[in-house]
Amino acid sequence: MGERGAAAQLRWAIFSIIAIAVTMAFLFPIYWSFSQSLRNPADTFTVAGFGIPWVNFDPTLENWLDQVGTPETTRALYNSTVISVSAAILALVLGTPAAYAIARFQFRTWKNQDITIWFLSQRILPPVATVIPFYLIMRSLNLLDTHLALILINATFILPFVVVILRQTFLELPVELEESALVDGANYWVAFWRVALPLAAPTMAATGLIIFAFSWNEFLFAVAISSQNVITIPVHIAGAVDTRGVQFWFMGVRAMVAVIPPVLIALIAQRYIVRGLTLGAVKG
Amino acid sequence: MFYVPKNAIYKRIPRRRFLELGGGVATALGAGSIAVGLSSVVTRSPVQAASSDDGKWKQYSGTKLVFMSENTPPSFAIRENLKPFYDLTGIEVEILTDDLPVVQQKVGIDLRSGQADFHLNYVQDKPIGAPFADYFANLNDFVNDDTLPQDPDGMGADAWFENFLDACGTMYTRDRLIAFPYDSAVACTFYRQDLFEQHSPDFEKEYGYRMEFTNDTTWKNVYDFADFFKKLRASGQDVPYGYAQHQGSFAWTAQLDIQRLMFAHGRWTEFNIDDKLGSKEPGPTNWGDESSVFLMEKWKELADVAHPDNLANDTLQLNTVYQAGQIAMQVQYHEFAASIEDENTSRAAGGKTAYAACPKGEASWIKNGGEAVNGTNCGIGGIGINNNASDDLKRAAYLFAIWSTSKNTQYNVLKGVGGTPTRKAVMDMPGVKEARQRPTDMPNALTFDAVYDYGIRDPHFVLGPKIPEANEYYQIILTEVQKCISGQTEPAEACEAIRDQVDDLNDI
Repeated sequence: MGERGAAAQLRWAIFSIIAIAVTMAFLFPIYWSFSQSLRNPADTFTVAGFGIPWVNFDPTLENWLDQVGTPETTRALYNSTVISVSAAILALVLGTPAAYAIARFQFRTWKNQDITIWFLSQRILPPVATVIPFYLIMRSLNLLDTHLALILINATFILPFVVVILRQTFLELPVELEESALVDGANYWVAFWRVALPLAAPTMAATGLIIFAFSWNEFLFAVAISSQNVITIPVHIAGAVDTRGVQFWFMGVRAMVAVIPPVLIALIAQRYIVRGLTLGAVKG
Repeated sequence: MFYVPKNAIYKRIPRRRFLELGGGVATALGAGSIAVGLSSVVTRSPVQAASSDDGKWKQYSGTKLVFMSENTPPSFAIRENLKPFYDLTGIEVEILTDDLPVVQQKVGIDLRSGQADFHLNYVQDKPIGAPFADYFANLNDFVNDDTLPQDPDGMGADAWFENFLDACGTMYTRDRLIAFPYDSAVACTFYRQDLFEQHSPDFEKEYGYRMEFTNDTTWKNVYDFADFFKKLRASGQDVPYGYAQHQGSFAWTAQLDIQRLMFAHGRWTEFNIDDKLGSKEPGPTNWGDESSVFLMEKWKELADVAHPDNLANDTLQLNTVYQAGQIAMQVQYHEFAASIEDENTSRAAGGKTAYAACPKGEASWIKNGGEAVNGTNCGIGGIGINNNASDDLKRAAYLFAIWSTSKNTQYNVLKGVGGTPTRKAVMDMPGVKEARQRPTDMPNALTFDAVYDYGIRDPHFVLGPKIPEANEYYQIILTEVQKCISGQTEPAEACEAIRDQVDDLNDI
């Protein structure tokens, strides 16, 4: 083996070690939650080391049996699903035409780029700055502690993401296809609906999954707007902290339950995500 | 470039049309608001002073009330068992619960904006009561009303444990009563009796006195206990740390922590005001005086021998650390006894923990000439009525306020989920006296001797500071005390920084 081959092997080894270390760093919290979920309450406070089941403690399924069947957990999963799916659909329905418009048309008063940056700035806006206004608006509309309130708020915050991502997607689609449709007698709506939208579908799917995850994980507005009826899964996890202490064992179970739906959806839709995110990566 | 026919896609909306749309939205919002207002329906069947008790309880049958409360055991327990109240009154009550800071914000918005979305509010004495005192109804108006039912055990100061009515009900003036004591968290000492007994001989050899905890145990003794355990650990023995403080992110309990030490030594208080009434204009603070600086030095010395996670642990975390068997002593709120005595979650359960009063002041540490006391403070959660509500809604809310703080309700909460009664009459109920001794099915009762019979009584009890800016005050204390015990500032600097900021806060 020549020097160049040895150097390449060394580089490969270093990159591998770094990759493994980074992966472990990201996975460790998930592993730790899982480990906590299998412990007796007393073991959650006292187990030392890496918390390996059967090595550091005797695992138990009691926490899972206690939590998974409770109405609170079921309701939290239901609420999170309804809110996240609805918010994602609403944001896509509103954001896709907006993205198409910014990508294809010239606006008069403001430049298209400025409008895009304005949308992007909504992602930069600290959500905490809007909690009280949103709270007051929802109270005025009698929407506190309702699904609709959280759907509207989540949609507001994920909408810019949809617009910015899909704008780029539409920009990178060959405009000639839509022009051909127009030449063949289609109007702008048909060109958008029949030509552009199907081509952008993989990216829309990927965007939908990402914004679904954003809404799924959203905590700040959920805790402010909900009180009893629309407790979402992140708020339910935080509910393991009560006035008597922190129930780490239940927190572990709830965290694992919260992770499962997005992971399953991501696994099922993996190929769309990859296609969507790489669309336009290579220009012909 | 994509071809766009002029005026085809970006068709302008005429100004008139825009105004029409705006007007439509405004009308819709207005209609929504009116609908909200109309949804607060109250029904009333007028009663006379001579009406039957049943008639008085039922006079608002059909009304719906909302109670915003902290996520405390009494609120959960009462929420799960509202049927008796509904059967008694015909009033439907929705109990919403959240963490204290969230409750504080939601209640604050409701009160200050002149709304009454929450007819009943959790009035945690200083964090909610002190800033929003003026927005709560004067309960004295209802207590003296013959057309409302009254609690047979009364509503005067004698009906409640000492100082509780003052703590959450009296703010700045005795002319108004803003809340009835609903649940309580009073500080007392939790310590590992098994470890104290086991190590007492070795401790006595080194320090010259027995390692035990009594009402005369001082803060100097606490330092010795902590120092002793820390040295044992350093020598390789498998023992917990001796002591820990609440110096984590929850500012209020951090303030209460150091307040206990300060008050124990000469009954030092933050301001020269009536401690039970408080003041909207408290004047210059006492922070920075000789006593505060000296005691801040002692606080830092205590921190130096405390559990290493001292700066990360607030109330809940500290209790968790104690449950895990990592400390031998904590000054904690007596409602936590229920979790400490739970053998599933606590290594300090099963008779290993004993409960005592808060530590007493060390005579040689007193610089202001005052007396040494067992400085004890608390959080008394009251139930108050939103003064923005209509008169009838306030009267209906009063029915729930007296029911939720009645003897039977408090007894059920104590027995069911480990509540902490505020009404004296609960002590005379069957089983409660016996529950104060092991074995017990009401673990919180194990703290009653230390708390109700001793700690909450004068001269040990400290309530304040009740000032409108109480929450800002707590944050200042937390920030500066954390800096001090982490070694970023000297004790004198910390006290002076507190003084400057607090005086600035109060426009001095």
